[in-house]
Amino acid sequence: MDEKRIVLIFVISAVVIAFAAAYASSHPDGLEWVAEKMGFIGNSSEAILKAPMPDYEIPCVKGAYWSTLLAGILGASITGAVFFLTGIFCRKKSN
Amino acid sequence: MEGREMHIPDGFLSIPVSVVSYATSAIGVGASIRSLKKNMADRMIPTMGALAAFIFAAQMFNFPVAGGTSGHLMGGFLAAVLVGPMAATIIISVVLIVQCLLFQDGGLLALGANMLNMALFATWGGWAIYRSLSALSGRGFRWAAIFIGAWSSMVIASAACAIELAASGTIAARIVMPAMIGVHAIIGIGEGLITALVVSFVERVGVQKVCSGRP
Repeated sequence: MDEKRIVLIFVISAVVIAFAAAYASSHPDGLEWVAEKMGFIGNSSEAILKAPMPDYEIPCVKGAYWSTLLAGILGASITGAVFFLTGIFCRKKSN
Repeated sequence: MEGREMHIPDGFLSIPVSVVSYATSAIGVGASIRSLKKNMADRMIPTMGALAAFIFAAQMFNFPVAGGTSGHLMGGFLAAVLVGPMAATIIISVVLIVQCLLFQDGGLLALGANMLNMALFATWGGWAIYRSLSALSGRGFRWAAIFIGAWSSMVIASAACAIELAASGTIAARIVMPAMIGVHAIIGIGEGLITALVVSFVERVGVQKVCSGRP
């Protein structure tokens, strides 16, 4: 079935990318680069909400590679889980 | 702001701009959810979840761009091509909410603007351009239409971000607009290439039509 195959493809790809994420470019991205160049990077305030894994690293995990890898897997899983749980909820409701 | 954080952080946008963008994106996301409830089969939900997980991971992978900058896949247009623009809007919104709440990527005040720019403007703008190009030029130019749609989605998001920054009084429009569009016109090439690559891969492994909920 097409849907099962595509789910498998994207889940595997997400895991592969998470393993590579520690090697991503650390150059500033587009907005950050413009903000630095145009001198408004300093406007960036303390985040109102302190997130548990800032900068895609899990604070209690030692070693940047593993920290980023686990944060990536965790983030991708939670993102996917939002939909899978919604799906289960919808199915229960329609039964 | 350092390292892997890349969406609009808190402090860049004024309160009025934040409020207006929250309200506008809420309307857009709400409309997409209502339309999906009516038109989409429940069995598509796992596909959306897997695609969302993939886009979350892909957004962590910054690729280097000329001149000491980097970019990463935005994915809204990619999702629109694969599962339709309504589902794409929801996918990118969920990715942005998870990034904001758990990873401090993008400020909570700026979340409305980040959703407006990437889940709505970029996704729908790129999609509209892709559809009109496909209609004009026929199937032979499909890959050109996909590349241009993806590239446009990046440029549209950057222009929207520049307008919000200018409207917030953070920086003058005539300065920030060309700078934002200039950088993202280059990053958009990456968006176009990755999008074409992923779509062609998905089609090559035999998934011809992912979603029945396309308009």
